Amino acid sequence: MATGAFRFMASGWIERLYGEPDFFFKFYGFEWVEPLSVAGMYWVYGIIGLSALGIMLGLFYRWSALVFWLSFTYTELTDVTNYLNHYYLVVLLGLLLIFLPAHRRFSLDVWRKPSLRVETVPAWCIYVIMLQVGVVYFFAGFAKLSADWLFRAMPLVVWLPTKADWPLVGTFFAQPWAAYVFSWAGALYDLTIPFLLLGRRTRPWAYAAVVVFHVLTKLLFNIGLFPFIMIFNTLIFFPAAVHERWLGKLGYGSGATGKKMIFPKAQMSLLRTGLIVYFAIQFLLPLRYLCYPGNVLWTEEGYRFAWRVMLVEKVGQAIFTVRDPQTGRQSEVNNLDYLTAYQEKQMAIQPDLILQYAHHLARVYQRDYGIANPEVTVDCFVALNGRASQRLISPNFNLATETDHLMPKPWILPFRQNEIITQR
Amino acid sequence: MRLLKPIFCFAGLAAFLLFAGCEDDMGGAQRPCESDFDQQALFAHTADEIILPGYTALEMSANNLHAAAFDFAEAPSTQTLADAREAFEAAYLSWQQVAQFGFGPAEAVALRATLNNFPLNISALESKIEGEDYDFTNPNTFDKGFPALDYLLYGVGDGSVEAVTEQFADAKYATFLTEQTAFIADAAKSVSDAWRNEYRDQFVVNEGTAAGASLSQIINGLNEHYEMIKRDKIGIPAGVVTLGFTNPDKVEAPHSGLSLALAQRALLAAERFYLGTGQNGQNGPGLDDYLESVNATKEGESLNARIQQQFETAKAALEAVPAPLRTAVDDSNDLVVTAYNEITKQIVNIKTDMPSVLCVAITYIDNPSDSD
Repeated sequence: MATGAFRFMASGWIERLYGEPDFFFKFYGFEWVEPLSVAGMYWVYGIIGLSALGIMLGLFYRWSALVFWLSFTYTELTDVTNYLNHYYLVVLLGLLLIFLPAHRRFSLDVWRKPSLRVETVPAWCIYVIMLQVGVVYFFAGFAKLSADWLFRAMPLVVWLPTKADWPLVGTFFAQPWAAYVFSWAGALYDLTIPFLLLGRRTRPWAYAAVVVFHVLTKLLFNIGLFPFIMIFNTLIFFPAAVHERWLGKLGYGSGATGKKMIFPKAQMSLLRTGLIVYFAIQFLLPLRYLCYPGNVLWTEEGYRFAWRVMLVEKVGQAIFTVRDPQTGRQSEVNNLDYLTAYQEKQMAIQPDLILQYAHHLARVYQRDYGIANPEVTVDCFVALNGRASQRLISPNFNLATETDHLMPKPWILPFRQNEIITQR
Repeated sequence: MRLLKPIFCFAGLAAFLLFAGCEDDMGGAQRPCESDFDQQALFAHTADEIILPGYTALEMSANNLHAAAFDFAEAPSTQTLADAREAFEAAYLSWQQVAQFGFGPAEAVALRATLNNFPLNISALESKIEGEDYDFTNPNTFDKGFPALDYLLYGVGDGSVEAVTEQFADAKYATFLTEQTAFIADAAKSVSDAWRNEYRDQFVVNEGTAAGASLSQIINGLNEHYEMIKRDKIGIPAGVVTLGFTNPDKVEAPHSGLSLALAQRALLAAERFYLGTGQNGQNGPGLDDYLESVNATKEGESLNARIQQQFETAKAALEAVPAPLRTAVDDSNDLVVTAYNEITKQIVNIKTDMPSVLCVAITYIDNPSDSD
């Protein structure tokens, strides 16, 4: 993760993400989180990088883990349009790491304070990471069990041919059936890999599959460090003996202390409750979409935090009109006056962001043009997975007076399934 | 652990079958993105019958303009001014035909921004003339190109023939004019040459749906051009983005009164390119045929038919606006706004639907970080 933070700083992304926009989309319940100046964000990313190094080296581990989690989560909360599932995974793993004794064996802390050293930790410490990784895979696979993914090979059928210029395999990507192969293989992989990694006999093969799968996704798609996170994370499925053997080869063989890590009883019961609540949330969050009517890929109600990765190719356009109810004068909004091109693209396909932006427009027009209670409506069309577009938002609602909430939103128009493009 | 495994496997399999079987709420469209449409035929026709002749025409009309401007600058008179104006009109109209092909060689020299940034900043232009600054390559300034000529040939003083000819007794004006027309002629020639020499073949074989492939280039080019018509040529002057307060001075060519004709030509050019209509009116492979080949429909009718219909409606609405646009935005605001609305309705068809059903990867807005 240190690499990630330094990569962000080196690539100029900090300016683009925090310097260029004037307006930041907020997560529900975290509207109070504001980004710092560009210079301030450099400091935050510096802190992320250093604390990640601290975790890696096992130096002042607990504090490093805590600081890492806080600073990383903070950067993720500053703008919804930057939300990515794999950043969310980092947030979750960071949270778990705070409570795990991952610094008690092979770390600078042990070198500093040898009394910290233990040979074994309770099994649950390993299981929670396994479970977390398993949850990610399983729900990612579960989300792929949709007609679009399986029977239309969407959106891979759009994405794969764009790599047709690859040497050797390029022509294969351009084949229509290639996308189907990848779709089915991907769904099967996600659903079964946690279980295959658990089995002793299947594990080496499963791990080979992990490496192949993630290296492939790394090469095919613009997904940053995620493949590496998964490739290294899944190593936790190997038993301690394997890790010990590698440590031994590094000249850090097992000591003879045989000391076991035991948590005090009171602490343990607290941790147990915490973990049960945590994992209950992890299981329920991805399923909350079932509480909303309609297609989650369309309404995006219950879409985030649910491991829906690579499922949609969406193009949208949202033209907002602000009207002065007193004079009847109205204006069409040029979104690029207020948003970056990337923010506009993300906003136009996500209803809750459309609402936030509509509220922002109402504030701007009130402030800059002295319009009392401006009405904001939107002409919003979205095309999902290779279809012609449909209206996403009802143009008859004054979004300025609609509030964001977690109930189904009446101004989101349902996805009409018979409006399909028919193809041979 | 040994017991858990088969249970999990079974559960996984059961869920798999269950969902594969019943979650068919995504519609039954089969096999998207597949088409045996011949992309190379489309690109070859577009290049040979539309783009190349378009740039050749621009090059020729720009040469004529430069020659006429030179004659006028040498000997300003009613006759030489009339000739220069006529040549200007022809060149400006032929620019509208190729404005939508802003990728490749045109992009390399920022052709649209150097030739047609409007509305003109008159005081910036005046100081450029005073300062004898003949660098026309900055894409971010509004003091050059066709809008500058519109002002120089029609707008100086009170804009009358006498005032204009009188002004050009000033050598700085005369030199500026010919430097500007020479720049336009050179720019047109360089793009035209690049297309003729190597870019044409490169363009024709650049198949596929990736960003940067020819299909993606032409669709993006068409859309950028179309947005210009909608917003800059019509919308802003009509006041649709300024609470209904009109901006007559922001039309494309306020001094010559050509704005409406330019917008009409630009719209026609977009339609002809979409249909694959060649220079002599012959029909060849176009985006319309591509959409038909994938049987794209929207709300039960052919997407291609909708687009064609909307082009007709938009053209008719723009036809109904009385020239010049500069006064029409106030005198017949409702007609201009109607035209604007009809032009706007096409955007969802060509900007959202067309790329989606043709499975063109829309990544021209580059991602500031990763995606997932």
